[in-house]
Amino acid sequence: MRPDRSKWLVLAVAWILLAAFVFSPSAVQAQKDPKTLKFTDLEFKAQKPGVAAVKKGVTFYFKEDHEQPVINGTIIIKTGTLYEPADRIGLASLAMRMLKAGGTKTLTPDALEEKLDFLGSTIGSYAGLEYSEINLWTLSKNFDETWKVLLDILYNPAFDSARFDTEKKKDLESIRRRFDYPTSLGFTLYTELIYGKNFPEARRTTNTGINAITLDDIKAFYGKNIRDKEIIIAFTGDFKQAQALALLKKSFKDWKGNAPAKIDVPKAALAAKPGVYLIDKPDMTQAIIMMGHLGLNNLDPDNVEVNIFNFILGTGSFNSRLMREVRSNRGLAYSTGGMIGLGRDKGMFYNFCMTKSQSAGEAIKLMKDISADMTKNPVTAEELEVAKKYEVNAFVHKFDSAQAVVSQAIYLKLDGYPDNYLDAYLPRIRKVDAARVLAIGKRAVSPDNMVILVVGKKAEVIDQLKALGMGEVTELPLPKE
Amino acid sequence: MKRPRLSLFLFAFLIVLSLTHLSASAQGFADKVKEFTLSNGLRFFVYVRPQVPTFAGMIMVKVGSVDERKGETGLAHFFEHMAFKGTSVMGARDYEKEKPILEEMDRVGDDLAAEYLKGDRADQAKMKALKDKLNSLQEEHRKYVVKDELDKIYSENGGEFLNASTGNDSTQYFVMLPSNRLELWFLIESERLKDLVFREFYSERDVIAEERRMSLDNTPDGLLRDEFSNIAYVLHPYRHTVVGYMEDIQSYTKTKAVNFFKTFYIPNNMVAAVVGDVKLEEVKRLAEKYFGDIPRGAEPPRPTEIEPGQRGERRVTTWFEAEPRLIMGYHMPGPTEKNNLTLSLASMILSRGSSSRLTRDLVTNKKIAVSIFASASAARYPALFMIMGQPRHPNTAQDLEKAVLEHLDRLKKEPVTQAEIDKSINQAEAALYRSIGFADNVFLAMRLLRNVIIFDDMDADWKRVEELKKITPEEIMAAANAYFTETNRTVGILLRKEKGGEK
Repeated sequence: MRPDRSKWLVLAVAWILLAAFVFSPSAVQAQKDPKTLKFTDLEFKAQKPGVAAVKKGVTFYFKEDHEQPVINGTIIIKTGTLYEPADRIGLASLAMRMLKAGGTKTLTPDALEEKLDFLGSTIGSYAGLEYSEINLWTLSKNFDETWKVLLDILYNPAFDSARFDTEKKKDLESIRRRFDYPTSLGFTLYTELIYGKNFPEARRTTNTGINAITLDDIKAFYGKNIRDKEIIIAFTGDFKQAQALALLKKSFKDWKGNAPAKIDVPKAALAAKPGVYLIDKPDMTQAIIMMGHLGLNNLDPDNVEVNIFNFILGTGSFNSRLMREVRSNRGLAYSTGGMIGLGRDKGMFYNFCMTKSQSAGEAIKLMKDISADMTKNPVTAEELEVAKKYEVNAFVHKFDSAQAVVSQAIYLKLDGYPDNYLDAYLPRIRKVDAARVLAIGKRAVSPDNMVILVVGKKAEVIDQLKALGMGEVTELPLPKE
Repeated sequence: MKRPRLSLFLFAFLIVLSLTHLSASAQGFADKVKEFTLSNGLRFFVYVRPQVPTFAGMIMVKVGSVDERKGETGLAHFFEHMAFKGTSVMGARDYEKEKPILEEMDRVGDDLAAEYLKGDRADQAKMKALKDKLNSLQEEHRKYVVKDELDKIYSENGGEFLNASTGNDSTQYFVMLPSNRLELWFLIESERLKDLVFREFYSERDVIAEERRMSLDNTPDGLLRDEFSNIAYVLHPYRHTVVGYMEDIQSYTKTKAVNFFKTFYIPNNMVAAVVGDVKLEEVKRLAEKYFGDIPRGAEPPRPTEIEPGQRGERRVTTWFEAEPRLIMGYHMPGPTEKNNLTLSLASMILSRGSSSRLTRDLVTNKKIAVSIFASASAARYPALFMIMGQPRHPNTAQDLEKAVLEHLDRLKKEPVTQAEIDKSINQAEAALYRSIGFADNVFLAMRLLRNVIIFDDMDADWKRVEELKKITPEEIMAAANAYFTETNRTVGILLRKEKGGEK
């Protein structure tokens, strides 16, 4: 059948043939059943980046990849929002951003931006909870110039006052816009209910706090938490490691690499009383539901095995119980999932879905039953097998790019994981059985002590929530910030 | 955590794509990517990247929301969901017993759709009875299927990033797998073209209704975008969003969906890419084995609507509990016209990078906005030059609009500097090498295939950067005068209702 035949004939024949394919599967002779294809597990060893000490307190992680003429660089500093005083929330983020936004002693902010844009390079700096990063991306031909700018930012920040005003005003506006998306309202408030308003993982910027921050605070934060502190440098891409190491030795000759300040952080405890919480958003046609309690520590003895539990509960896409029941079988939601999260002190155990207002009660009940079942009954042999095969065969994707290899290694180390964590990963996965999954559920999930947050139209959901019998329904005000 | 599958990729995604490129070499893809075409017209692009023993497979079909007719909006996206429901083998426990139930469901479903379309004259009691009937059939049907088996098989085999997306111009299906699973990808992807069973058709409409509620109706940007597009175009199908109108979603019939599938899912209307640790000869052999026997189809019909020239400014204000947002749009020429590139360059001068005009002046210095972004379209049909921004309180959306207009006027009155052009070209060249990091193979496949679908040239984005170098300041000024006119303008504003809007 070639296109040189007359058009109508092609059309007619094509339709007949296509119809045959669609409606008469038996007409197709090729292999049809994927289960007839047999594959062995891919033998793949965890990849490790190169590591070298530049000097005391300055460590270099690297992986060359010369396919593209580009270089990614990252400087990780052991500071973040954990290090902010309680009346200056937002200080770490402002300080990190001002490193670049505020210009340097030789480059005005305008000139700095102009220079990077002209090179087609980018430099970004941001604060995390415990660690903050300065990132660089450049064509390798422009690396030298871009690197000079980065060092200038790190060594000689000028903290321009006009730019400080701009950055603060951006923060104040982002407070105004914080709850524009109902989903971010749900997630933010759920986090607050779990950890409590003042816990590092949950606390957020306020107008008062941002307004209180001065340029002197920024300079002091830089002096105390960034300048001359311990850093980790990561390069991936089109460079040569020997040259890079030599460059770093030169670049950080005078950098002291001092240990970060010791800080005391509180231990997590479930802040809100278990029960149902409602935020009334009268304009919504959908209810956002988040439910759960505290999760586990990063270094929990089940920190690998919990991935099997999570896959079956809610991260395994259509193989997970939440997706299958809430979405696929009942059509109650497009987006749903859940997991026992790991964290610095404790992560969050959460289940979520977005469903039409009329089905909020049904969805909550269903999600609770799904969690409860995983604390009472062993998962099926089939569920276990799918989850384990997924972990074994998808392991290779953890190493899909040079950046993935490097940043994974750095953060595992920083978070205190043992050096053989990735090597031990698959052997541990292979040993997981249904009893282990059940034990995790019994230990880490408490279905009768869940905090259940609903963001939605009160008039349409309130009766459903009261009828649940899951504790009193507490209405929360829509927070101002 | 894995994202839910089957997400909608709207305009935002295309913008991301244009900013985040990765590349094969300074000359483009041609020296790294091998192309071959099966006798049925299906074109394959193979890019061997042996660094890690994985690969990404992608099939892109030249069908998107632009190919939908009135009353069937969202069908391309709906079909994308159907494509995960299995075949007569995958997902089937007893297909012979399942089949009559599916047929019965279709009869009930057709009756229900017909009643629904009577609008306010619909018999609610009858509709309820039909829905109950459908639900009980659905329960019955479940006995004969293996739920979501396609997903299960991919997952067991280490499939990651399994998903599909629908846009205005195309629909794409993709997954990353360990490289020794190449044949599995060929088998599954070809079988869902040859032997797709439309399972759970009616319950999936509910899932998509939730998707619409989540992505459009209950978000400020989705809502504004929807209302804006509805007036920016009067005739062209770019006016409706990818997910479709709720009223259409509720009334899809199996007949419509099957027709849509038969019309557009034909090998000569799709392209495929395999990127990663694979061997060209093996890809060729498997492509022939699994896809070679799918017959070529008739050229699908394409939209016949040409958007009429706009003769007056259009405005819409919509309301949501959120801070204000602004969208401005100007109709602009399609990708084959030189002014498409000229306006693309203008958009970079306006908003690419911290030193660009709008960002520097409106965000950094005057602080009227917290974000502002201009983009020129490069789509299958002529679309819009868009400017989207968020004003900073107490500045209003109107203040921001006025400030943007001053910048557009400046483009009309004075030539941009050569330095601004050079900077934009440097940025555009660098962007060709941008890597996504995670899922590089998938994004590389996406970029390749999109070049083919939109421009019929896998190196189109490279060549377009070369063409940018020929554009003069005077040409930018002329294009600004031709397109940034009041009568060619549509403005959408979103305000918070409770405060009675802005003064």
